[in-house]
Amino acid sequence: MSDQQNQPALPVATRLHPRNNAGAIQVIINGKQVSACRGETVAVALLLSGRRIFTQASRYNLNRTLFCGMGVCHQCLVTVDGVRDVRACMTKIRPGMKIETRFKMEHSYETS
Amino acid sequence: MKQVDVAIIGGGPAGMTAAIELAAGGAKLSVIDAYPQLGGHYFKQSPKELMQQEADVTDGRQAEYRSLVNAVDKKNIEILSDTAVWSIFLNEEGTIEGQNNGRPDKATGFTLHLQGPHDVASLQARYLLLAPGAYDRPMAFPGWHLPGVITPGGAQMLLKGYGILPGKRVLVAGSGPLLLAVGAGLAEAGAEVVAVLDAASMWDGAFKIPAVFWGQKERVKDAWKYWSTLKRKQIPLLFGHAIFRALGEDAVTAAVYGRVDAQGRPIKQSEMVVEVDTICVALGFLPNLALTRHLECEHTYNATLDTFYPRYADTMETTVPNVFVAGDVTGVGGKDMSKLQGRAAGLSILGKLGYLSGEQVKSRLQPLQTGFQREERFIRMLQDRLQARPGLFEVIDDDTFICSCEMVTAGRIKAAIDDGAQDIRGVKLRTRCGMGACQGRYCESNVAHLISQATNRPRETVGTMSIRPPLIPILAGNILE
Amino acid sequence: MHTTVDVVVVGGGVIGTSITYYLAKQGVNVCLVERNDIASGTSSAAANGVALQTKPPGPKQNLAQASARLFRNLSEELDADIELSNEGGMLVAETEEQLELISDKAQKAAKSGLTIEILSRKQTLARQPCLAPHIIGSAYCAADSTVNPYLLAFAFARAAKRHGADVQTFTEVTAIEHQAGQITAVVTNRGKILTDTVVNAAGVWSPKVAEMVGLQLPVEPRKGELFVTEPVPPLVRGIVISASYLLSKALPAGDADPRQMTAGAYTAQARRGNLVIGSTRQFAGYNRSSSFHGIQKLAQLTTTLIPAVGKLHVLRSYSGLRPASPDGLPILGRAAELPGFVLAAGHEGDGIALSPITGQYIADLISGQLSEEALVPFSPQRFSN
Repeated sequence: MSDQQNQPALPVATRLHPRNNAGAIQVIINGKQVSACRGETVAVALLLSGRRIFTQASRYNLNRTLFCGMGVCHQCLVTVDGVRDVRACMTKIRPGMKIETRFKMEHSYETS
Repeated sequence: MKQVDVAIIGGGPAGMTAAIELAAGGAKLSVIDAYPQLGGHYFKQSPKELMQQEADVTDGRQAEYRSLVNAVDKKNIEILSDTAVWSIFLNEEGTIEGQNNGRPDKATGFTLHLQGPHDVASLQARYLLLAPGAYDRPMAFPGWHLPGVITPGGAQMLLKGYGILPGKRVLVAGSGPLLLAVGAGLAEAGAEVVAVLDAASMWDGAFKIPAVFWGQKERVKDAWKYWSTLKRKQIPLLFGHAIFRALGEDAVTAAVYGRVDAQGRPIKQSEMVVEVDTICVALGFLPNLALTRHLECEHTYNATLDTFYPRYADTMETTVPNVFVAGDVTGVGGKDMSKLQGRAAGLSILGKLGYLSGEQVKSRLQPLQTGFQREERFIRMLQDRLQARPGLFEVIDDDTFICSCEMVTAGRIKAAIDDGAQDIRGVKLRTRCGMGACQGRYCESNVAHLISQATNRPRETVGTMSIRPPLIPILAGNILE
Repeated sequence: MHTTVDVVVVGGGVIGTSITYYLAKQGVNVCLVERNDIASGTSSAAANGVALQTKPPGPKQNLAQASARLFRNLSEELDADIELSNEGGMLVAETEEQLELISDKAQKAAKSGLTIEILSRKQTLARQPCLAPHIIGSAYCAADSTVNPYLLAFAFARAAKRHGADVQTFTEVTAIEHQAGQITAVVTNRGKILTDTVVNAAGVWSPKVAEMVGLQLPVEPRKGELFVTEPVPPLVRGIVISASYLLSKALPAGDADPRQMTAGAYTAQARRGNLVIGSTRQFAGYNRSSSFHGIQKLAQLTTTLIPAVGKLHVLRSYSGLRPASPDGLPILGRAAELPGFVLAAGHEGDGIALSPITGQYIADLISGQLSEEALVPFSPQRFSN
């Protein structure tokens, strides 16, 4: 998955405290195993994995990501375990969860 | 199906206080909360798994939260956390059975449909207390759709809820008391906060209302703390300033800001460019009206704040019988107002349930009056600071996105108005603005302003986004029998 | 100051805008009056299908076929993107009984020139891989298409304006003046319009407009609930309808328990990628709210037929009021008592599909190019006894 190419080389979110290793779990982001912490949301796992952009809107391929952080704006939608358009900010991670960010590829269906 | 006397939606200060009052009075209830921990946005808590250590009890806010949570725990109140209400319907059967202390009950029940990790997919309640709070009011400006622009609430959620710093160089802008808290919080956590911009002037509201700070020790203390942090870190706190544009290709790389006049009109000559990776911006709050609109409660328009609120009586009952409200959904009241309203609503419902006599309800509501008056004084000051400033919309150009779900620009909205659209529905059908997943929660205030300005008609006549179930997107496979 | 026009069309839905367009195109001086905005009623709460094979063979199917011919070049003619897609429609059978029903209908349709192919289970799944494996066959009609109903209404209105029509939205008709069997004027909240011809295209509100001239119109609102899913890449080709939908649709207005909600599975993907899923049918007055049972029933029916829908988010439910006539056929033609009062109402759930031909026929009727006889099956007089 080449999604890292789409990520701007900018500073990203950082953890304030050292991670509590007791709560460490593995999730799969775009096919790659990533270590995260139990209790965190998909949005947090994505941000900490270095991704600033979660998805590209099907119109104009605009970059979308976390905006309101509280489940209202629906801008942070990603695919979780095969289910599309799940709110990353409101979804807790589970061990082995498959998280997919979306880029250009599949959006040719929408022309206007 | 599970039946309760009262379903409380929202586990913030209002919902928690109401729950404690209702449980103490003998009512059977469930609290439905969208987040992992009670507390709402005011007490913003980390999920249990992420809590670093025992809460700091010297922190007044934490201590207050602990005492609320302990009271909730002691009463064995059912909390459905991480749970969203996706629809509420009046029971077709009419009434549902209730004990009601032997008093015949004519209350029509409600059926709530839930989505969450619990087994409870639906719930019947005789009374509803809606305490869904508020969310950041988005400010539209060129570039606000870029990654790196987040709301102060979103920044707080990352910072306080998950211990995450959202960016390294941050501009905080907009209006409202949360900006100071967020600016200070980000700075304390190690971000370089380049400035905090407030569209209001320094003295807006402050001296107009006599005794506004009387009894507001906590608020004054908090403000002083945040202000000292900014001062110590040499972060400019600029009143009468606003953001004009965000710059960047894939994400935010810089912000253009400057001075605004009392109406919020940008003063072009004062433009400054600053390199940032994150812009944290909102114009105060919008009440979360999804539930009250879904239930067809009547709303009134507050022109100062440019916001609709559900109408309610002193008992906190809305225009729909047996539906009560409390907390920030009723206005920008803050935590203390929310608690007062939560208590008032709880007492009124206990009266309706027959657990308290009318006299008892009255005598228990009476002592809350001093608190209500104190808070209302302060809210008048806040309203002055948060007042709608139509000039702030002047930064919007034709390419500025207004609807982020369907990616509709201001230019297309203007074209729709030229085509004959006179209200939100007309714009929605012509442009798809508001047809996306958020059901217009984030574009309504901006599109309404554009229409009202272009058609020269008052905001309250241009309509609202229609809220229809499901209130949040829900999997079709989860609705099956 | 009064304006004078040849014809006033009351109602700005797909029917009213279409009539206005075809009149204006013929050079008739026409004014459309709409209480709210264009497409603010049933037209923006409709499903997106233009289905021919679901219509009963006979006058309605013939009308739909004539309408489909007009649809073919409509985008070019109206110079607008109405999201027309010619992917055909599929009636899916899950039981032998249903297969028999659709085969029988296909044979009858062939007699009036509509080609419907009966596909085997394998052919059906090849054409529509999203369908559940338990289906046993389908009837495929290549002439079926999809369209965006409210964009269609806007396109008609804009094209009508370009041809000189006066389109007055947010204008409410308060009275229709008439004497000695002749219409003289339409009174609105924004002034009086002098005319001798009024077209009642007010959909579910058409009985109220008819009352203004003392006529009773047997049109009743029939609620249809639908929902849309989130946008997804192409999943459903054209229209997919369960054969059981026909049975629910066939239920006439005067049935045993008409208040009972019936439902049949309808799915078609809109251009944007959202699936439009319908539809229930129920007589419930002018109530337009969605119901839990409606949403649940539609989810149940659709996920049975198209399992992938179970993993899609429902974004929004909505419901529209379909103007139902007692026999399910539209009411088209002049009122015998008041020949200047022309009816174009009672299309129920077929208004979108029948809008172009309704516009054409009503315009031709008014301009004298079409005789009353041509519209006999739809004549308002058929209810007079």
